[in-house]
Amino acid sequence: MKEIIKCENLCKTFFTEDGEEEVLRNINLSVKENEFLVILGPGQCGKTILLNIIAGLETATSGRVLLEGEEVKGPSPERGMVFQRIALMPWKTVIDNIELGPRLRGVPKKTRRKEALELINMVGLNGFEKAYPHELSGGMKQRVGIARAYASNPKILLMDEPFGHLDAQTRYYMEEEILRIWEQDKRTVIFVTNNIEEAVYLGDRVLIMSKLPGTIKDEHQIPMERPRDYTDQAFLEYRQEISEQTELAL
Amino acid sequence: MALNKVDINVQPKEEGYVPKSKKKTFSYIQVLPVVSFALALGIWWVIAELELIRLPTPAEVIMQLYVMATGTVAGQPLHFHVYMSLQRVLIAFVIALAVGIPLGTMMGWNRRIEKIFNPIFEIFRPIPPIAWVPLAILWMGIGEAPKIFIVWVGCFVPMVVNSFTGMRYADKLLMDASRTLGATRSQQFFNVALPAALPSIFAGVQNGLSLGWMCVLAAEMIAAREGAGFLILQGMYVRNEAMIVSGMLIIGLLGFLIAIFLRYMEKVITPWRKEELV
Repeated sequence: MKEIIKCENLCKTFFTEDGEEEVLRNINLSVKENEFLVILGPGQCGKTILLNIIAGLETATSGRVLLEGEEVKGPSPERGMVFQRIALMPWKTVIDNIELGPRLRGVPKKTRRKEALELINMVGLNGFEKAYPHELSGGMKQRVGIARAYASNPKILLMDEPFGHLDAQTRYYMEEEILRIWEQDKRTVIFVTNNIEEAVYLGDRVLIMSKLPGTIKDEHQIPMERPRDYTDQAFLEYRQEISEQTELAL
Repeated sequence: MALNKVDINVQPKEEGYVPKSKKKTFSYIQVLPVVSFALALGIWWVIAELELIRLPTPAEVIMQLYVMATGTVAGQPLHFHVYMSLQRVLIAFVIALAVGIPLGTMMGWNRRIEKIFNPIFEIFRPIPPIAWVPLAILWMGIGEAPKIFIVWVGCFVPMVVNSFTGMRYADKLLMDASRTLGATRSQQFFNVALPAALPSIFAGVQNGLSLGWMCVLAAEMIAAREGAGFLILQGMYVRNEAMIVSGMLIIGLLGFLIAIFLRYMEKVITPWRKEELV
């Protein structure tokens, strides 16, 4: 399959008054078309920074990111981002938030409205088009975040612990939902999480990151059929295996 | 497997939540304002009756207000004085809006503009509006211009301060989000930073108008023949304490009404604000 994104020797060091802090060291990865890649790592391992570099929101100290062979220079709608803190515009209704990207790019009103309504339907928010973000629960807000990223018709979706702030029950449910949405409209996904079960439940492949400075310690294919079952024997074996490696990575 | 459970995410409000309009508890908390108001009035009355200091009784003030409303002060009826003060504040307010908000937002948006204007503004800012009275007279004489200028100084400062901080501390995450959606720099300004700063800018507008209104007395110290502030000064010249207190009450009451109006406008202009300031 076609390779969509590639990171070559990415390094990131922050230079502060107290000295240097190396956050990422020699990250090499590549993601194939329509692959669901999960990056699993403990808190503070630079995985958000890595995602921000791929998004173009931050620059690497050295190394480069290639999208279909072209070097990434800055943020672009072809790399859609779903944020942990969701980052909806609080002054915009659900539908206006979803339409924001297309509107900024000058898509005509009729077209973008039609697409936004389709996306609202896809993420299961029918009836909430005119609601403001503060009127929604955490899970519903993140549905808007996912629809907003899809609205730019991106080549790749970058998800930064998108369910990190949700309660456990909503989180399980949103994991099912993200797969349902993804299977309905497949994209290349890089999904960052610190939750092993979430990684095994979602990923085609899981990369395990170490603590600072973040490096990729190991890689796991998860060839299980979807939907996966948390209590399935194979699931538990993958979980066990990865969890042992995660401990080593710490 | 997932489609039939869509409702699970529609979480109920937190436990014990009762919509405010349906709350039917009556407690002494609600009568406290009435009690305190009555008490203040009573103390005022006692002090005035005992003639401890030169102070008119509440009844004398109401009589004075009635006399001024039906008759004239300095050849003008009461409503004209109130109107003149409001007009001055309104003109100054509009000019302050037109100058202060662009200046403050640009300072918050662009480091270079901040470095150019902020040092000057930081020195200008602590100078009380009343300190400008002598210069205003020398520059502009004793017409309407210096009075509007004094009120303008009062309005201007909080508008700049709040627009500046609102823009400067607009959530960086929202800016990042808009950048991943393809926003250009100017689109970020108009579609993200400005609306994100709007609650803060509006707070500046509120403070500006309130402060401008408070400056009306200082402004009307400049040879005014009309206005609510003039009533206070006139009361002093003719030794009519009831007139002084009337003027003070008018300023207080109108300031209070302006604040209520602005709080209402805030809900109209920034309807999303309610809980969403996390």
